[in-house]
Amino acid sequence: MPERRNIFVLLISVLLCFAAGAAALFLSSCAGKKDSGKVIFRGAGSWEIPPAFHGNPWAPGGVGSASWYVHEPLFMFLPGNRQFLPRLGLSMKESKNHKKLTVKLREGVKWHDGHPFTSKDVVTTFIIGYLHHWAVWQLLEGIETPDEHTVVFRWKKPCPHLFKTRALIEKIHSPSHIYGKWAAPIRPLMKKEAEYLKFRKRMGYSAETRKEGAAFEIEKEKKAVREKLYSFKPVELTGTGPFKLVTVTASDMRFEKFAEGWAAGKIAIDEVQMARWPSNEIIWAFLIAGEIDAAHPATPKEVAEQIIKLNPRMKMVTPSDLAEFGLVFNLGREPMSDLEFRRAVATAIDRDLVRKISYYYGTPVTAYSLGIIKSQRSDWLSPETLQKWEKYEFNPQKAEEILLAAGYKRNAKGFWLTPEGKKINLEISTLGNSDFVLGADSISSQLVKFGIDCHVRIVMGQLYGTKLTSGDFDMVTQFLGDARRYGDPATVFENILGKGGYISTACRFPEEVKGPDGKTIKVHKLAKELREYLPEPRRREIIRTLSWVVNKYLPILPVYEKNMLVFITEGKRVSGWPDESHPMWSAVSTGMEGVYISFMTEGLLKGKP
Amino acid sequence: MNRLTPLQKKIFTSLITVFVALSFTFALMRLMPGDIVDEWARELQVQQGLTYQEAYKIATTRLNYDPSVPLPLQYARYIGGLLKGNLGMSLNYRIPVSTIILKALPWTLFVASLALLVSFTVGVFLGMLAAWKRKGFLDPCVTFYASLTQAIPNFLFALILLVVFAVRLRWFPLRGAYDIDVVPGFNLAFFLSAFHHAVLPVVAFTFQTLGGWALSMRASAMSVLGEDFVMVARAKGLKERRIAVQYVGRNAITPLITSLAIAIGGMLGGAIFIETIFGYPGVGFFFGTAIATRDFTLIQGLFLITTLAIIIANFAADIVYSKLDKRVKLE
Repeated sequence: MPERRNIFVLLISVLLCFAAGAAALFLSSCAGKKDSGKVIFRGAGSWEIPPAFHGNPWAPGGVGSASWYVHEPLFMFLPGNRQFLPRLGLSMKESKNHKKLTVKLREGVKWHDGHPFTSKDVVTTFIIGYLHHWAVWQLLEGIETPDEHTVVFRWKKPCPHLFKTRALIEKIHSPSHIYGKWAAPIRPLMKKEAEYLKFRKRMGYSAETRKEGAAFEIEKEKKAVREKLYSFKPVELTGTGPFKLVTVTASDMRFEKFAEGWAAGKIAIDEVQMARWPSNEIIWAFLIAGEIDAAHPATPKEVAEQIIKLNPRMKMVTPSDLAEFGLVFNLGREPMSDLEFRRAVATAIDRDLVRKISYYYGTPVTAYSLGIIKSQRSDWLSPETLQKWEKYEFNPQKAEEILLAAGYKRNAKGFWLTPEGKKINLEISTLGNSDFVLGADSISSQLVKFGIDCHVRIVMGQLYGTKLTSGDFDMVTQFLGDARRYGDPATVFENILGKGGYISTACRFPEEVKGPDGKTIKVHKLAKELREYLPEPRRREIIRTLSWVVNKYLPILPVYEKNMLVFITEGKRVSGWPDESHPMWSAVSTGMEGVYISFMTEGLLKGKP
Repeated sequence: MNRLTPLQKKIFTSLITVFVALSFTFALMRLMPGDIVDEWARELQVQQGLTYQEAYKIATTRLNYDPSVPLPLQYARYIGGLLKGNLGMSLNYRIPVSTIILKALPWTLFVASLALLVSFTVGVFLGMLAAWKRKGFLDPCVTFYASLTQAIPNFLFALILLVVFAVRLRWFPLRGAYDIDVVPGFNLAFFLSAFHHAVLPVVAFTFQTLGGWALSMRASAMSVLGEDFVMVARAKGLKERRIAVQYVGRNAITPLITSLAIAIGGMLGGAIFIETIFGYPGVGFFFGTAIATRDFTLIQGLFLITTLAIIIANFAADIVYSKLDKRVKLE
């Protein structure tokens, strides 16, 4: 009997303790959360959780999304109106030959630790950026500091918009009083490397092989500096931004307003709290619970409507992410290598239906395949030009005619056979993101309905790149026309048609093709030229030619232009969200948090009314 | 080997198991397909609007791993490091693997041990009752519950818990191990917050394992019920409850000791999905991240800890088992 009682008592005690503990904790947590009177903005972001969170923005583990609130760039770029919004920089001036860019810095700016912000901090950041292969250094010759509040960027050749933007929107996060000691050993290495490259250029390939040891030595020295820099773990994350990082945990970050910040007078938000973003599904839960004021998870229509229904204060804005989603065809594999077959596939797919299933809030792309994203199309291609080009609108009848004319035929079950009589079996490889999978599945179903046997294969992220570069696919879903951050067609065509471009490599696009007049078009060369500084007419000509190439030879098929689906809560903790026509929303592709911060520093976001 | 005592033999085979397991893990990691630099490059390409080549170059500087070092040399360095007690540096974070494990392990132990305690205690109790009253209402209920919970993935149940109890009812926090307002340390506010945050992960852990314990106990108890000594006890006129607890329960629970030992060892591996959903900074969370980023050294370290824990727990189970059941001897 005593044993039985003991077991029973033990069990009940455990359960009671558990229940009582939970209840007490619930009550204590409810009692503890009183309104502090502070204006708090709650968002979501990503960062490595402690102990992996580093605190040094250069080191692996970095600072994650904290950088948006703590650090600032010289300017913020608004692709919508192609304007630069002053941040740490106040004004800029380009020389006539576009080889010099002078930036006047804002005076009186302080780092969070009280040190004044000067031009030395900009140089320190860029010098350490050299060590990390910042792309801007491909064109940047050097940076000068004529005085404490002026920075001069000197370019190796006339600087195009793309590289200018790169320089101006990099966050300045390395104060010279902290990171200067790591910038110092990099300068002689830069000089050494520049000399080596000059030598290599002058002497040609054979000299390069003889000097291989020199390149190896430079890389070794650079690595040694990097390793020392990574081992530096600052006690506090320092920036010039409007908020100071106070706490980082596995699930949350908290920032307090930097009272001495240059925009502090305009900022009405006292505190920013950020929840860690584990997956879109969890963010939906946070939004439904009213836990966060703004987030932009990719969301199916029904879920978005449900979130809005459950939160009457919530609304959606859908600015463009400056990228198009669609298919990449493998031109190196039968039957995708046949242009007629690609034309038929493009015409057999109801792209708007795919958009509705995959990402309802995208902008439909139903007629052409241009590379240039739809919202920027009118900037570069006139309606008269487009009228002359082939359209690939949904028309199964036309698709059938194309295939029959090219020698394809159907078998008894209605499935298409190649001209050689072999049944066509296609596979669409896709990443596991819900919008990608839904899109691929819709395309596959439509092709099967049309008589082309097709199925979907979901590929893990780590294997996706290998699959693409090895050409082991028929079709893949991918972001195609990708003008994110800079809104520049140069990045779009570099990717789709450039030598070594991610998509051009995957689809095996040839280096040269025949133009409309029968002359050869050197696509790799043109894509490269587009990244240079060019007179406007030449730039337009190249963009027109490359768009024609994409539309004619169909290496890709865009389905929709992705619009960010931003959920914002008005009046719960903050208010004053501008409507979708505000130009700052056009900067979402440069980083959503940057847009929120701009609304704060411009004094638009305030506490609840 | 003949000169060794059973205990020494057991220790020797355990050490060999550890060595084989860590060698196997080392080889397996290197055979995993996929290019992590490529994934980083694609991420950077999107984030910074770079060309693929530019992004790839930046990504290579991040990785603390030189694939050109021959595998035997890598293996020799790994084993050499382990012999010195060094688990290596994380390729991804460039901090010692031991630092990550030491920070993550307490959270996993806290949640998983609570969950194991509850699921084992309640599961054994329910299994015993189901076996004892086979024609009652409880028996089919337990079987149905166990089948159902084995069929529902734990992350789905975790999501349901999150939506119902954190989003709708707001009884529990949505994420994390403790409230951002409390200071971690030996203070009441921190402990209260940690317990409050642990409730949903514990329930999610418990939900799926409870049915398994109940079924195992039911099966074990049913086999004991047919034993002669139970019939003798009944013939002697002993009370039903005494027979159930002292004769059936005590004997039926013994085979579960091994499973419990494995579960104790296995819980150190955490639960990837549950910890990720609840934003819980345990071993499972880091396991998931390390696999996704092909952080070989971190995966090896975490595997090693789990392997060691399971082997030690099994070892302990064998000893305890031999003490509980005199018929069993350690060989």
